[in-house]
Amino acid sequence: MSASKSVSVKNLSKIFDGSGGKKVTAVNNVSLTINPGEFVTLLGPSGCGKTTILRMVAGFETPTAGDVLIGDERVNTLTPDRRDTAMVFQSYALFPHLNVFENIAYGLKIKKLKPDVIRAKVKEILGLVDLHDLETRSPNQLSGGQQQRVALARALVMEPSVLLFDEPLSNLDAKLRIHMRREIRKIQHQFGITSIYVTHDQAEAMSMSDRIIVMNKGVVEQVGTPREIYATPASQFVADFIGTANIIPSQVVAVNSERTEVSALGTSFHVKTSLSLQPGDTVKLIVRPEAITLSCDAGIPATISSSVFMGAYQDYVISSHGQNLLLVDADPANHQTFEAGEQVFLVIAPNKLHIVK
Amino acid sequence: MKRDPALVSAIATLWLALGVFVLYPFARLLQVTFFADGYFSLASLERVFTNWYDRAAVFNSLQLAFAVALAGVLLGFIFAFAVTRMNLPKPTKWFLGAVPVLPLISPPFTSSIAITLALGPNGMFFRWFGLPEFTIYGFWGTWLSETLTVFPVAFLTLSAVLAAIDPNLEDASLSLGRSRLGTFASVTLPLTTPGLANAFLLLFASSLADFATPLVLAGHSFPVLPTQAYLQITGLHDLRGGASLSFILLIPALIVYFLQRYWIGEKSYVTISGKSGPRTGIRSLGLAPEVGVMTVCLLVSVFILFLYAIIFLGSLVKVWGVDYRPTFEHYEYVFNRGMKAIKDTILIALVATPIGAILGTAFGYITSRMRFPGRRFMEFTALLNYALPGTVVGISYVIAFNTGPLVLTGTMAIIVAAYVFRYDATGIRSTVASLQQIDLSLEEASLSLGESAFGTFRKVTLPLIIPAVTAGMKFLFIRAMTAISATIFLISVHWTLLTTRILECMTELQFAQASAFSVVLILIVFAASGLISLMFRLAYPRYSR
Repeated sequence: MSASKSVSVKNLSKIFDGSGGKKVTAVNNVSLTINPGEFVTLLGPSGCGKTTILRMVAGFETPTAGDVLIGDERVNTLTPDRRDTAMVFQSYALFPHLNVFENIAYGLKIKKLKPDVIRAKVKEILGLVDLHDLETRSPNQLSGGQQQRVALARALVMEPSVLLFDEPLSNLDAKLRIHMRREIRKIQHQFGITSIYVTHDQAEAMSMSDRIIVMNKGVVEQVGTPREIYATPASQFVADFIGTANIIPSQVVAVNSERTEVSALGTSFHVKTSLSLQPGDTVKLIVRPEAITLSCDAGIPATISSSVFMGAYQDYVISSHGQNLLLVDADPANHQTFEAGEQVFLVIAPNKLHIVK
Repeated sequence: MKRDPALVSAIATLWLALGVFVLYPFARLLQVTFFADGYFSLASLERVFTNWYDRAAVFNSLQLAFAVALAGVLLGFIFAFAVTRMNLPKPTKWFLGAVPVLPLISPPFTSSIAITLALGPNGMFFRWFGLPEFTIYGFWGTWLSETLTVFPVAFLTLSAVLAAIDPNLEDASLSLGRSRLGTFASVTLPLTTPGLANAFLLLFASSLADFATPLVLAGHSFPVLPTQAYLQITGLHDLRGGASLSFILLIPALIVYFLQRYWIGEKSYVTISGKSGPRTGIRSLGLAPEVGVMTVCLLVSVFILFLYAIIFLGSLVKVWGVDYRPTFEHYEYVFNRGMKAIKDTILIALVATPIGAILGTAFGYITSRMRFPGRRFMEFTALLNYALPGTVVGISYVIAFNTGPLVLTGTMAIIVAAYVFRYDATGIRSTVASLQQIDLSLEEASLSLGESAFGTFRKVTLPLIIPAVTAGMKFLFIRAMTAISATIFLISVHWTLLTTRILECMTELQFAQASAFSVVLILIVFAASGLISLMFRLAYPRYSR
């Protein structure tokens, strides 16, 4: 198998000719490096440029400016068929006129392998994705999940240096999606192929990636491990896009080396931050719903606006000092629950707070 | 996929072909019309509008086209409604779907010969019913024959539109309290409007361009443009006069073409979403309207079958209307005196079909999958000859290839070229339509797996569009066997066609021989289109449903 390679893009931009002669900047001066064997997700809302980057790595789009490197090779002008990448498409893109075997063998035949080698490789990969006995089926006789596996097998069997995934699970139902996440991750680990995975689903990104690249409006907002991105988002956009966040406007009161004091909700919080701030700066305090607990006797006074039982947890919307806050009680069966209209007190865990500009 | 040299040379080749066989003749036609002795002049056009007979031809052509389009759309809608929106037993649906196909694949003279035999002088209808003689020649005969010939086009386009309307929309209207007829008037019909307008334009253009029917049925009292242009050239050897008349014919044809592409194209409500919820059954409109629809359908179907029966019987009796003794002498005549025409026609169709298939696929693929400057103009040019009346194309070919740098008069090449660049339009359109259904990611998947651009076309794209290519080939073959309006100007002693032989028989009042020729031609067309389908099925067994 060919060795996994790194992928990097340098000052990459892509400008499309939009309708009416308008120029649309899909990717704006992006630089990234993805290490050999790494599983990296490009995450962002639709139109953020993530798919365009993927398609420039695959060779379906030519960069307007900047470079794409696979390993040490600059591939800007290389056509897709000459790049050592394989792509798994959102629509699966299985050839409808070929059966499962022929679909998977398609790329191997181009490599001019011997028929018995091809047969053995296809058999092996079919076993890996749990699709024995389906070789002679045509794609339209398969379920969505099976088609997805064939598409994955067809790319994997090529043993490419880089695997590219373009929202491959978005057409599956929720349960199957979770199952396929694990499968893809497991197989990727096994093969150690550098993988770039495009999605707008943050749960998918969190559960699969070594690192996540969060994008918005053509630029990179943050690069980091799932943990880093969740706990210390670099911007309000990232905080809002990944998970749920209460974003509370607040003001810096005092700055010292250990903690920064900010005022919000009629009280003050001491927060660890790497931002360089001055007293009087306005910032956003990021409070995850699970960082807030409710109490009957002490804390920040608040009123319950809505209370919804969700089975495993209880969802609250509370109002305090003119702010609506979301919070989640993870274990409602164990203690008291509150109803809309009740007066309560909030307790906020100081080490779970984070501030952004 | 940036400019690769293969694409550039392919585009250059296609432009060269279009330049020589579409743009150049068109330019020469304009030149002959507007330039006299090297100077710009409107004299030849003025002559058309001052000569009362030519002026009548302009007026008659437009009037006829309007009347035919109106009647044809109505008839086509009624048939389409019966087939797509009524609960009919399967055989009835099949019958109503099959009868309109007959005129589509028949040579252009079929219905005019039959109408002459049935309603013309000595026509059986008048004898049977003891009606007073009246002359079928003129507006009414031409109108009747053209309506029967062109309404199937309206039927086909409108059934596609009606079938695509989601019945849930009608259910929504019913559940909001509208009656069934009210729903038809306020939901179904408005949704069909762009389709109706499109069908109207199509029929208007075909009637305007129709040459064969008025030649047989219009007579001297009812001149129309295509036949006037033809007589001007073949009878009076007045190329300039013919060119001017065909220029006038060209204007409404181009207007129709533009309206269809840029107005109707944007108005269609019917889209295939791929999302198909449970479809509800067909709701009946009520007994009285359905009986009315069925009555019209059955009467028209029976009349069409009756006309075909007359052609068939007429070819097997001595003299229609006078001597009904059976005989094979007309077929003997066809196979002795007409053998050359049969051979020539088949050979020309056999040569034109594969060339047209390759060109049509190339135009369709390149204009819909590649991005290059002038792409829209290439598509427009590739379909131009089909949009123009055959007479215009024929006359422009005569002007362009009689003299000048490229002389093709009297060769087989000129006839083949006329057919290829006129009738590959269906191939282009169906290729484009089928490419639009094919997700681009299929081709990208192949590229991503290491296949080259050309290999991807051959292994992925072509197998997926082959049904469209075959449909285009079938159409081209049928048209190459049955068309006359353009090629009547291009035949020679070396190369003659079955359709022109039929015309000769008609002008010499040899109706029986004309009928025999027609029957032979229809049988060849049936056999050939069956053969093309069979070959396709053998080559691509996976498509057999």
